[in-house]
Amino acid sequence: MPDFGRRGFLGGAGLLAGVAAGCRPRRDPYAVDKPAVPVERGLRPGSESFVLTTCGLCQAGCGLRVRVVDGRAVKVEGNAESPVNRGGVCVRGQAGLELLYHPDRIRGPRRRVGARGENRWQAISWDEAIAQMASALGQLRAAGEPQSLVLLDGEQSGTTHALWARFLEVFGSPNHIGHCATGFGAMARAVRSMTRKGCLPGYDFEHSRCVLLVGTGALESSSHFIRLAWAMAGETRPRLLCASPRLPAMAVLVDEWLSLVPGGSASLLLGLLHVLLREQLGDESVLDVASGFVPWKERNGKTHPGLRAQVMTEFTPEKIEARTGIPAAKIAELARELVATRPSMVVVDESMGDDETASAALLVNALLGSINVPGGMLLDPGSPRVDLGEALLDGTARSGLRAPPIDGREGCEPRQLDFETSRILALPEAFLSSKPYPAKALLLSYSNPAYSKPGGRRWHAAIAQVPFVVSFSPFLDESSLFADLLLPDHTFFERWDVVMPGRGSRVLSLRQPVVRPLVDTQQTGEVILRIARALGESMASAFPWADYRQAVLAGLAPKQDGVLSELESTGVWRAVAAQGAPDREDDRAGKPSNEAAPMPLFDVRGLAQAAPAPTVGDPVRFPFVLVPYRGPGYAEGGMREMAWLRELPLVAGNPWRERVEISEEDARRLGIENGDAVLVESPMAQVKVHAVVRAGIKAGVLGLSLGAGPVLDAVPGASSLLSSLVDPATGHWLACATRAHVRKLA
Amino acid sequence: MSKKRSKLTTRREVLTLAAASTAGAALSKAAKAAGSSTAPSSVPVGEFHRFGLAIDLDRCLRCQACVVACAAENNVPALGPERAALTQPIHWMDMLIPAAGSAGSELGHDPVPLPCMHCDRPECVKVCPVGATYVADDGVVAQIWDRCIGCRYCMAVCPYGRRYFNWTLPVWPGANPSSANPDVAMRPAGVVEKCTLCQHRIRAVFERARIDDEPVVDEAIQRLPACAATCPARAITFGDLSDPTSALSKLARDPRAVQLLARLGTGPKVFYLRGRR
Amino acid sequence: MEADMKCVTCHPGAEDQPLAQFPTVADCMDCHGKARGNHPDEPKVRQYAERGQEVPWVRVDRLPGHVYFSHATHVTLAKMKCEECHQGILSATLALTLPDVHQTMEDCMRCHRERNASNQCKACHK
Repeated sequence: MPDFGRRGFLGGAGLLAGVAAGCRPRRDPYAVDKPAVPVERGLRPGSESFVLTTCGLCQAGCGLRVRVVDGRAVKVEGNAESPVNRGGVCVRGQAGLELLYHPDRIRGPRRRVGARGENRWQAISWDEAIAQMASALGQLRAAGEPQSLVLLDGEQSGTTHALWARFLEVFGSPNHIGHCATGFGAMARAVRSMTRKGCLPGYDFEHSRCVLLVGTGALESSSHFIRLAWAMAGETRPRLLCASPRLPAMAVLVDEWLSLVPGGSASLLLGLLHVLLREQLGDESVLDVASGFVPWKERNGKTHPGLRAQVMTEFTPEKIEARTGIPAAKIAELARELVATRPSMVVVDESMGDDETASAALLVNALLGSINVPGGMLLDPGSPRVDLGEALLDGTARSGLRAPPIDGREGCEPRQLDFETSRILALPEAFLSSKPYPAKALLLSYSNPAYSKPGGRRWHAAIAQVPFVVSFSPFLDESSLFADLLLPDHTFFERWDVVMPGRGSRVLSLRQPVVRPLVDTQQTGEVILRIARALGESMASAFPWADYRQAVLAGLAPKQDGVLSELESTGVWRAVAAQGAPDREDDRAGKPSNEAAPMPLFDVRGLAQAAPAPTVGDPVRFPFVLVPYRGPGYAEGGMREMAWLRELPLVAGNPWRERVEISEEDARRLGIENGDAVLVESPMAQVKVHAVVRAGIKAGVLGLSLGAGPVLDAVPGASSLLSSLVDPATGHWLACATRAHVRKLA
Repeated sequence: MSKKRSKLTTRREVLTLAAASTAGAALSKAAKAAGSSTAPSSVPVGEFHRFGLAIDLDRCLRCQACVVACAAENNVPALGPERAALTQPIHWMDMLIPAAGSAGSELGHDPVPLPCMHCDRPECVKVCPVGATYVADDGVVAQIWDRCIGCRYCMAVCPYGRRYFNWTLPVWPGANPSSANPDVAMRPAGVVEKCTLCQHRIRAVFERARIDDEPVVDEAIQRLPACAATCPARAITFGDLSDPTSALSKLARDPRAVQLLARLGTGPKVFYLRGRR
Repeated sequence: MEADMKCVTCHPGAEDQPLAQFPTVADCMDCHGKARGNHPDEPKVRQYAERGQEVPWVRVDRLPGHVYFSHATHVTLAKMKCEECHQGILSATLALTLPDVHQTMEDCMRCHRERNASNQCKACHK
């Protein structure tokens, strides 16, 4: 063959190949070269099927129906049978396939090569990976230090979460830490202490006549969005009010915006409570047995005036005007409106709330008579849950569990309550100071704290301090960059599971693989079983299930007949609401029903704080307050590379750059125009972003979009601006506590 | 056909040009008769449809699920960080965002979903020099990718700005076309594209109905296009305006129904419902 | 053909699907579970079945990516015979290695005109 040089050779070969292929000299410009997939047994080329599964991009658990052609998932549709979404699919779900087929997925287990953060990895087999896990974790048990294992778990329900809880317990570590401190923790605590129920609320928007949204989560990013959407599809829809420092660009259906001072949400709600009590508009019988409502005395003799007195004296609408930014007359009018247009309810954005706000919202809803009635807040602990039964603990485990939790939480029984009180923001300090004891192993499941949690660069240093770090993320991220082992999970499109959406619904939703796993990943639930079995007899015996599917079926509670067959035929299984005796006593109370007696509240002590919410930063140097919000691509940063979610029309400015929202009047005053590069500085960091000037932002506020930044960029993202200030009593993050300064960059 | 087009660009097939020159005469006549029912139909002779959309702005949350559903169904590429700095993304279903401080549109100052209007008398069809766009007999303003020469005249005259040009070879998000819908062609560079009212779905439903010898009922197609199917608030309704009993026809007759730029007389077939029920 | 088989036995989609489809190895095994005929490659079917694999059919007739063709419409509604487009299939004794459909767009449109089927572009173009 003559030598044409590389290009000539290839060109020549191509021409020859073209002639040989039967006179097809030109490539079809419309041909799509898709990566090959293994041919499924029994499937004809071009055949199409629809696979019922459940979305995993947020906690809502919407039912999906995925169209699969030739072994490839090509379109996401909704499962009309699912009561969660009734066939609709939100913007994230529709972009979901970008995650499944993303080219940056980690292709199999990886072991770190070179120094941490160098991003050099060696491919290993799953057997090797499990062996390495067992060896490292086994050493901790052998040395009698099982408590130095820390697990960061981004899930809060489901069988994988239950298996992790069991694993940590049988291993002997109290350090099962979740993201509750930056999310649902406040509401979980409020519900538990005030109602003695263990569940998170759902909201019946569809039958409500008036809804006060505190914060914008239900409109933008939270799992409540899908129920809010149904309410819009009905013949009548609720009047929507939103109290927050900013409105999203898509809040056109909000009938009235209450421009709230950041941190003023609890005061607003207590002000509403004041009016309800003063004018005797609410149902006070719910507080008949509530400790702390009337004057009370601690055991040591210290007296408290009680919540009623506190609210009546300190939370008059006039007194809280400045703290909330809402005129006193408006607060009174709002309270009267909520009463006059019942059923009405207050819906709190859990990701940006705090303990006070969550408790106050629950209290107002109780007084409005809006708990467990149509159109109200749904608290239903009777939702299906996972119950794997008691595990036998050996001496090492029992001793390890007696150690104080590394995040400084108080620790209590039962274990689920304990998890909800975990304090993730205490971890960087704990790791760096090695107090109360050094962390020796860190597992990251559905967690990317170096990106998603305030504290920025400090997380990098903290994670680097831990000698053995493992991440289960399917994508390399800011936290897994510092790991020693990568054990990538399947995406939810490739997993089998039974999802429990909860939140007032008694539904089980099937998740099943729509395609075979694309790369050499393994479902984390299976990996937990394998590691446990590799850690010796006493651990293995606590995990008697042959595989994850067996564990799911064993753990489904309450047990019912015919669940699996109904799941497999329709994708969902609904509990029969009114018939049959529930398993446990408190299930009856939790059922939305026409009960004559409204739900009583039990404990309202310490609910109201007289002092205004603290902020970080000198108000003179940092005149603005940062108000973070979760954009559609948030979720621990794992959705940042989904291009369709980034390039949405209502995302202002260059969609791939970080942005900060600023009010028109502030922009005018500072000479900033829409799209300008600006420098935002907080006591924690300074970051260059671009400005979005718009209406719907309170003056003095900078709206900070979370989830917009670049992936694995050397430059710290905008979330590094946020302080990790927490409520000292609960460890819950104070989201709107960071002050900032902004100026235009030349 | 004009001699100017003898200069073939790389993506034109010799075969297609030859075929077009014989069939083109018949088709451009059809294109000129835009909106009339004399052109041959993609449905059997004797059937007649006028498909359109209704968008209820009282239900629409502006969540943009329709935007992404359309992109996923129709293989509309995203740009990625480098190209997003240079050009606007393609959104067959876009959001109309009135400029701050402007008079807004007939629909007010809030963003609204914006598909192709599928006009009865479209400006774009009148100006296309090669007959690459035409009004099909079911009312859909259809697009023939392979005929488009990329002159962008149609983009200039569309009063709604609903047409997009592929400046470069579209790159599938993440450069992995595995999830591309095989029912919709991937457009090459140099071609104008726009919403097709999911005409591939329309074709599939009507074909299925003919094979099974069953009629197509309105209830079965109210959520037919990807945008209507995904909307969590059921704000988008598809249907046949030539059927007075269809849900769409009723919505079009509703006193709340408004069309964008109706005064221009292009006959848009997208009806917005506005004002509280 | 010698065995008097109908095309749809192996290509079941031809009557009601857009794609005519290929036989699965299970379909082949219905007849070829036991050795049949003299062809030296015939035992391969059973080898694929034993290994749990599908026969790796190679498509030789390929529509361009922007064209839609539905077998169902043509076979069931237009009542066409397979050999009208797949010229030579009646006399074929082996599976094809070269395309046997040589219709151009012009041929299709002529036939459509004659039979009063749609020649609207979107009937066939994706």
